[in-house]
Amino acid sequence: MAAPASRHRGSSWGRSWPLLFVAILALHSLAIYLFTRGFLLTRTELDLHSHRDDRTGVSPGCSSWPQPAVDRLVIVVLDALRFDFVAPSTFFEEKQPWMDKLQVLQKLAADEKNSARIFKALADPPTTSLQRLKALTTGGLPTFIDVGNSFGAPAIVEDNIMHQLVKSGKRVVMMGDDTWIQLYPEHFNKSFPYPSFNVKDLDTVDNGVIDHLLPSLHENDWDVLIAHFLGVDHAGHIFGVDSTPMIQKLEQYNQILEDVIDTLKSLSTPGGPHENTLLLVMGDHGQTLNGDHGGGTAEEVETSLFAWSPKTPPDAVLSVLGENSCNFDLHGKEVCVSTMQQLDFAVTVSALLGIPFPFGSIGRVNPELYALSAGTWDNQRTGINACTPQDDLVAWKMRYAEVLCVNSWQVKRYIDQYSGSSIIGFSAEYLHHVEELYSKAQANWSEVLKPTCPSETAKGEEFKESASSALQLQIDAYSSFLESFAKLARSAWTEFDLWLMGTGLLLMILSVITQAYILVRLNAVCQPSDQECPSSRIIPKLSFAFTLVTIRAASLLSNSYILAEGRVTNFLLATSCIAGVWSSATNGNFTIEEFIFLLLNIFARFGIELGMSKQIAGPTATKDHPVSIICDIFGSSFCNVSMDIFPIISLAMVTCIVLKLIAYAVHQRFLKYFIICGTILSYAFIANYWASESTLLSHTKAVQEIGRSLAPRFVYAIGGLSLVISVLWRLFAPVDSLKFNKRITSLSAAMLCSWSPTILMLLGRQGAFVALICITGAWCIIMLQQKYQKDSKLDITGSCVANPVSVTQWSLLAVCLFYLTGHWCTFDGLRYGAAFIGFDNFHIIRQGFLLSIDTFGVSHILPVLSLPFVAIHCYNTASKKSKVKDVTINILIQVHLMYGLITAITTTVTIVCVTIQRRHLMVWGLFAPKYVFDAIGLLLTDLLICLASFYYS
Amino acid sequence: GAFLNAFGAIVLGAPVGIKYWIATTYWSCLMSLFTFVPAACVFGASKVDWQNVLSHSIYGTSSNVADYMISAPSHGAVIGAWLGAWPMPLDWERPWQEWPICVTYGAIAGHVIGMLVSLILIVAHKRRVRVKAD
Repeated sequence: MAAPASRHRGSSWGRSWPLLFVAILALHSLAIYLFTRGFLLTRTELDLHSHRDDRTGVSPGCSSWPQPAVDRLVIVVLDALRFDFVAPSTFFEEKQPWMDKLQVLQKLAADEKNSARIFKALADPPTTSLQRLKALTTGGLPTFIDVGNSFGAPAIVEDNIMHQLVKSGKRVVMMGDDTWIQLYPEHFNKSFPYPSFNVKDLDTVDNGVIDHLLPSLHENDWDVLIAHFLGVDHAGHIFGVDSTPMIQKLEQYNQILEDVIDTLKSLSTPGGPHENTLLLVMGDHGQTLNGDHGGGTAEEVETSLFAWSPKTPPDAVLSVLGENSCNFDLHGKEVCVSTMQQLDFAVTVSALLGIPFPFGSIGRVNPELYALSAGTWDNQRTGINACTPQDDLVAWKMRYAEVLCVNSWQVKRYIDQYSGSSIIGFSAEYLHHVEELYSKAQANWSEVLKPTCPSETAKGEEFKESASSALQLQIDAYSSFLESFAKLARSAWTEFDLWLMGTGLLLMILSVITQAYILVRLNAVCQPSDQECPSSRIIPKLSFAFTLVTIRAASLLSNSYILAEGRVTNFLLATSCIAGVWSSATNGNFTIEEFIFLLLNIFARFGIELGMSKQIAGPTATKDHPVSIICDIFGSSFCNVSMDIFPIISLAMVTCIVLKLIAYAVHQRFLKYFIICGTILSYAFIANYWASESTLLSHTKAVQEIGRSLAPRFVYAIGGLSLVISVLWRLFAPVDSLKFNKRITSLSAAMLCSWSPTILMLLGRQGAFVALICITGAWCIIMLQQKYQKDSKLDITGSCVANPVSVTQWSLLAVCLFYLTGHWCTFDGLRYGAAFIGFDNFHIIRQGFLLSIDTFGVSHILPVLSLPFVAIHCYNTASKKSKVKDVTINILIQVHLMYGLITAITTTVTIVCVTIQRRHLMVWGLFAPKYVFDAIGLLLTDLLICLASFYYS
Repeated sequence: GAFLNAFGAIVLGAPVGIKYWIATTYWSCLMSLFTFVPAACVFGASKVDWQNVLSHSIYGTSSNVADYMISAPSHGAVIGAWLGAWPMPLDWERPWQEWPICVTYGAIAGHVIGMLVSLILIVAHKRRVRVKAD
């Protein structure tokens, strides 16, 4: 840990400080690794599919996928349908105004006990619509990160019901929520999607569905119909559950469902189109009384499912259904409610429709739902059971046991495949237990099959008894296997490991404390005890910087502030420079740099707002935007031209500034000439690339080709080359040839110049503007710091305390730049286009590398690498003493340490916030991506600081 | 004064756009009423006094009652307006979260608190002077 490094004192710091940073990096990586293991549940998606001709199992009874039991299926999904919307109010302690609104379902469940039933369906967290739809169709437990998911496109690649339906030649019609279309872009025969993201709109989706639902029921061109209503979900989000719009919505649904059921009834006569149809009315998840969902509380997880088949199964169904939780409804009739896992939905539906079970499904065919469909009672099978007269129940049990046999085989196959291919598997011990259960059940199965056709002399009644109980035993054996595996999968994929999370968090806090302690210690070491003045002067600055960091960190605790993080950071940066103006106005020496810095803030702000408006991506956002206003004033043609020309102009300015900087900062002749050449060349290439993209000038094709593919590669190559050369120079150049200060400036300038063209290239056109802002901002911070140094020169002669305010400003500026370049902390905020600049085909490592340079380049790589400027300029004006090198190194360490500390503090607060909000509605949409970005950013910063410390020391 | 305030607000992130111009103008007038007008009335163009108003070190040291009366409320107004910005990004979607409204409330509250503080300071100062005189 960091302890050994901190034992060194005084001049020995110079040699040991890279070790210190390595220790910090190690500590942070460990902490983040532990926390991530506990928090980000990952699952590997298998790209395997079930096929119709799979040989399912070895034993005779279950060698093929089950026979279809229903011909057509109508699924009505009511988004965010709470259990108490459907179940009679007598099931709850108190009658609430939103209960008993779906009367038609309750009435049906009470009147037609054999064919209609209300289920309490238990969903698994995360209870967000997308994850739930995925779970319903794949029969798995989707997590936040399903490894193997193609980034960006949400389409489901795992095996699922829709895929199997299409493969089996069934026709699917969908109406309602357009999420289905995103998930299954080419699976539907007909679809009527409606936009789902406008939460305030209660009716568009529902009215669209209503328009198409009843006419579709009369048609014969589909086998499965999915109607997804969104009104209840939206009403909950806006008004809450206990509200008039919610009750109106429920009453409207009651009317629709009544129409649907009447239509189905009228068409279900023998020979009619709906003779053997099953109706399912279900929710995908519940909601809290405030209308939130996403977490794992009972209210969010408990949704309901109502199943009804127009064809009534025999009375024996009641013994399968069980009567364990029955109650009288408002009209004094008995209503029974069963419980099922939502996990079981996919496989049950597959079994009913007679399609292969999805490969990754880990559910169990639900007996009650399976029994409700009359088709499963048809004794049409002429298999091994035909030799004895059986009653319905035994025949059904036989059939169900066969289905379970196939089901168990399929789950077992999934377990084997998953354990073989996944990075993080299941715990071996538990897996062994599950496999034991399976082999026991299989052995039993052959026992059960043997006496099915005994000698004719056996007494019918007696035999029936024994067969029934044997079958029941068999069913129980399979069920216990399936249930225990589902339990195992649930613990791996849906439950946070709080212990790991806590340990990670604790380590993180510990490391922050260590870092702060070392910083304080360092201050004490380098204060040569002859003056007390500087330390007393530094206190207000320190507290100011600390306040800024605290406010920024605290702002991460709320989801709205995370959304507005760019603006918050900008606000704080502006506050810091206004405070600077205030204090310098008090002293009466106002400089031009401060004014420029203020102006810069305004530009940065517009840039950030531009980036934000891209994030929201609505037509309304761009309307009152400054850029479009300017475009309105000057006309669009001017606007287009200036859009093309402006980047080139700012690029030229950037080039000038960079060249000046090199001339000023790099003191070694060879290095200087090389870098100047490299910079000019690469900027020329960038300009060439942009020119080849623009429509302003017309080119021949060859020129365009060169511009498009070769120019970026040259830029990368030059960047890499100059990086290598500066490292070599660092390693082999004589150390004493230059003064230490000059050496470090040369080194850091060389470093910056080798990185910046690549980053600029990747950022695209906005890059030049951003670079201007970046350079100006950095220049302002440095100049201001120099000014403060001059102001306080009177009493600081040997001071070596870095200015905390400048470092804070530096890091705030870095965060601003992140948002300024149009990034934001979600995965769809990554700029995938940047990865393909200069390359056309995809290669995971190369493109990943480019993408990460683009994402973190301007906000992490450049600021960290240019930190020495802050340190050096801090010292430049101070008097030259004998121990120049020591003091400079000390300041360097301090600056790096401070920067690292600031990043670590914000990341720690993000982690705390994620821990607190782990059941929040937005956790998977907002907090988790933010955590991932912050964690990667922190590790990158640490790594860069380490490298920088080796490089500069 | 109004221009300076408006500039400060824009630097800090006030929305710029045609529909916000009027609100921004009104708000900056109000702010300058709180901050610049009293100071200008008393000090005129004296540079030293202006610097005194800006400086935060006067609280313990100044002997002039007018200094307290001017600087404390104006500081209060500025700080109040700064703090008043915090509910703006929250997603409650209330009408008062629009741009200048909560900032104005903050400024007024800060101004009132500043007046109270100045009153207390003046009383304390008087007492101290009296004690010294004794």
